[in-house]
Amino acid sequence: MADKETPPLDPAISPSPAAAEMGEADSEPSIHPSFQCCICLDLLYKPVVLACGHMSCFWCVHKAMHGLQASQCPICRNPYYHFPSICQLLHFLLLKIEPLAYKKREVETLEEEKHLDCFSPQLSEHVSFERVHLEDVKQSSRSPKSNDLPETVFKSATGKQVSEDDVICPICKKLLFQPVVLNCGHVYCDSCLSGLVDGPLKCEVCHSLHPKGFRNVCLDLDHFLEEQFPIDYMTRRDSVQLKKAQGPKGEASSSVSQAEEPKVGKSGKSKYNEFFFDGDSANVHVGVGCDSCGMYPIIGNRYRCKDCKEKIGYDLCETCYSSSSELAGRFNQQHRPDHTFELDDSQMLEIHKSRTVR
Amino acid sequence: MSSSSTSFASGGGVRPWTSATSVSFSGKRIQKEMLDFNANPPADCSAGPKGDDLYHWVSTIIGPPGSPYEDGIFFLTITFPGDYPFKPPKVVFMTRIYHCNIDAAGNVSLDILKDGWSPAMTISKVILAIRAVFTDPDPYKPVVPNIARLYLTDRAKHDEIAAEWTMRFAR
Amino acid sequence: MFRSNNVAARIFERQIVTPRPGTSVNYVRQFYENLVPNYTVYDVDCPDQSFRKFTDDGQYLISFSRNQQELIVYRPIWFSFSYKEENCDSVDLHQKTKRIDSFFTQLYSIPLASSNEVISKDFFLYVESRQFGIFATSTAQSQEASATEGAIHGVPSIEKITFHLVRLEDGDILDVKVFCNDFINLVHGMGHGIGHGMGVFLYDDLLCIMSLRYQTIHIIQIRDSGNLALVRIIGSFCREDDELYLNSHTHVTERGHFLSGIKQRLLSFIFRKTWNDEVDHILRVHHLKKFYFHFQDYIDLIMWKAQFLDRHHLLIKFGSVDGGVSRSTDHHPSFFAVYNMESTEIIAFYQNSAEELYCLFEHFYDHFHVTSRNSLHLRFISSPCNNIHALDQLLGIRIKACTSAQFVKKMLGTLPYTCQSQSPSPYFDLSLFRYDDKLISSMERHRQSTESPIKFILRRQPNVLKFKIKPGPEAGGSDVRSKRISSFIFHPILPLALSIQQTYMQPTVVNIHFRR
Repeated sequence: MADKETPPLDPAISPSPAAAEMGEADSEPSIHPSFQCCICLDLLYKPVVLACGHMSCFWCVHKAMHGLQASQCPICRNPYYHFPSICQLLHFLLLKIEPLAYKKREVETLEEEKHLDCFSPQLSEHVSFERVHLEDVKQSSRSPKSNDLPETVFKSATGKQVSEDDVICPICKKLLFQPVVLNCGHVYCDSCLSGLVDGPLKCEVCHSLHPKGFRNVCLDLDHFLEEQFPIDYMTRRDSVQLKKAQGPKGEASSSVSQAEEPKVGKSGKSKYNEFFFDGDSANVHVGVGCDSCGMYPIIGNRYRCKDCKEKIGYDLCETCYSSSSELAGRFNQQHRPDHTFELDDSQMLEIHKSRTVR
Repeated sequence: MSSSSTSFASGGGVRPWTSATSVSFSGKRIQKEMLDFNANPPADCSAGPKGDDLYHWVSTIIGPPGSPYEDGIFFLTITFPGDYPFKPPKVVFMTRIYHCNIDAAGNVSLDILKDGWSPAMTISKVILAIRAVFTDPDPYKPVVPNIARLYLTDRAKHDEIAAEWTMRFAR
Repeated sequence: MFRSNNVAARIFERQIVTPRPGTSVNYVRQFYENLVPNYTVYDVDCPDQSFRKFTDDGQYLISFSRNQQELIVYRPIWFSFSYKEENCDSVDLHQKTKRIDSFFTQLYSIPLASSNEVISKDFFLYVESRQFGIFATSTAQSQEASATEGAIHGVPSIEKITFHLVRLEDGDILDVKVFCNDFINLVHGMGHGIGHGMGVFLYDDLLCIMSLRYQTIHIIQIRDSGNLALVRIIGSFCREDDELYLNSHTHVTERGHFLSGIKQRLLSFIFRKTWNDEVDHILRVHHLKKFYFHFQDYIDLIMWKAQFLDRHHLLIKFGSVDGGVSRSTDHHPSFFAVYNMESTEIIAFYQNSAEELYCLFEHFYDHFHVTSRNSLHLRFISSPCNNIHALDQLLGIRIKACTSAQFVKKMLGTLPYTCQSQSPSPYFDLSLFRYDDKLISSMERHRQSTESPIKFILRRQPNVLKFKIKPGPEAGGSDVRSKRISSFIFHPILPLALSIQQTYMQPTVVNIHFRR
């Protein structure tokens, strides 16, 4: 009968399932499901957490972003305009949990980056976790050069047990509960952020503004914490709930964050565009992002650094330019405060609201 | 930061560096999907690369029982773009089918294969979605309006024709 | 049981011994051991023609004019010649036997081909029940085939191929069927040229024509009235009305690259088989992976040849486009599919190295060679399943073959069977005679001539030489080095045979072998 084997028509070529299965065998058999990137389906590398709380690798998010209009979260389709910074807390956490796999990802990614001649930000651990939060972030992300990897640092981190110190909130200094990752990559308890004064949300560590819109708990990280520290997590939950019940202030603010969610849920593209395009038309710099706040594409004026030599360039949006940001670039550009800027509209496209709101 | 190769001609799909990153990135991802798919394939579906080209797959969907497509064997080609998963794969039927969401050339018209695509989608989800429209066509977004009209006005007649097509062209 | 070879003794024996039921025909055939074409008339005086063959009932001798434009039909009259004379031994045969019309009466000669066409010399099918003959004429073959829509690439084209249905009784052309810009194999033989043999098969009144260029099987019924009626077309679609049905339901013209009807059936058969046969998930996935890996190869397969197995089932050979043109079949695997025309289903699929198909072939050999539901002549053709000596021969080949797979491929290479290509003559009956099958066999084939005579030795005791067929004149004389091709035409019933010698640049020589 029809050979079950469906014999090869050409004996020279035969299917290579063996090769495929080998790939399976040597790949880490058990990536923690919370830490699998939904785009490359691999272990998260240099994780970036979107406002909706979903995370992906730095490059995966960047490649998935839309250069012309609002990007959408690959999982929940929540629209967003800002390319968030890498979440260093998660980065070092993963380095501890999956040292070998993470290292492998690093080598792979670096290979690709070299090929592209464009690098993701280098994160080093010698500034300890707390210090990253307390000290000036600008220093830590600027210092290492693109090519020299802090290999020794990785070695020291190999096989370490995750401790509670690795996952504490910079405000309450306790185990993170319902963690929220801001655009700058810093992580707080949802309840701690709610306790902050009204007005634009600003990071307590790096003082950068969280873009307008909303923030959401990073559920994957939350689940991981619950799993990893069940007792402490319970304690934290009880205390937060207690606080919520007692303090009228806490109650009010938590209702704010909750009220925001349904709004986002039903907000489609059009609403989001309205939110961004204040006037009738907007200048969109196609495929150009702000290296400070991560707005991508830049809407409004675009300031281009005249002195940065990297191919990818260094650009700022109007807001970041006026707040005289001195951050290194999102792609490890060696930008310095003494560099000069110019207005650039080479990639500009004027978009009329009536046209885009469709 | 700005992507080196942006052009307005590519319309909504301006994505930086896609051409440069694609090969290894998309290849790795497709490879992972293949392992995943084979380890856990959706019911009555199957798929695999055609020859040694990872970017061209063939999929087989067995017509779901209870639908007019029951007992049909439907072959589809799936073509992955070089910048997969940032662009959706293209799915085309090689087997004729009477369906309001599949045009006369066999192209599948599903939202998730167009604007609704997200890089978090996998081929497994795409095939599941296609299998789902076997049982539940979407007559409100048809590519063949006549079939959609018949589906809405005379479901029995529609099913009869679809079953006849299956019997003639998909056995 | 020892039997005498004496005719008188045998006749007496027949009167007193009743043969086993069902064996009477073969029993009677034993008389041919004594009735042999033992006398040869060399180089008879005959018009320059290509003698093709006797019809299986022995009624007609088919011949074509040298320019391949006319059909000439003769009736054998050998009896009358031999027995009209009062005393055949004393008569000087020489003068009369030198002429062809002493053996055959020309019934008629009719033009079949127009000026730019020729009759396909190898092609002739006989519809015995109605005494119809089917002939083919064609224009020249062009290699650079114009790209016609729907035609596959890599197959040559013939501008016009015409099949003629002729009533052999009077030479009346009853009907014709024309194929344009197509390619249908009308050449004999295996392993030579495109398609490995005849692309037309006749089963009872059903004709199966394989159009290679359009990958279509035409099933045509020969009506008693003398009409060629198209029954169904298999290829792009499977059912007769599929195309009509499709056109009535789609309002736009199809632009898609859908699988053809037969390919859909084939692929879904392989898929179902793989899917259903393997319960184990991992193995199933593995087999399916292979199936997809070769998916394009399956799509690229084309139909080469087909034959009927019965009125509903076709055995179709699939191969690659290249495989058909190249001579070595080893690098181009081919496949066999059994297709049910009624249910439009593929019911079996084999590779050409499949032991399973070979076993069926060996044990049910006759079922693969059947050309009619009630063919009498077929029973006279020795085959491994009706003749112990033929089976012996087959096993002999098997032992000699290097590998079993090679042997299987070689044997299955004869499938699908070329219709009406074997002579039912009793002298090829392996239970009666033994002969060198490299020099001669029931298979119609042109062979290179040998100077040595072909010996027919009695199979039974005392294994004596009963007669010799010597293709060359006894005197020798002609240039031995020149290459000569000979073919043999045996009458199905009478001890009468023609041997035809073709030497390059020289007139054809026809010898007649008969019983004196």
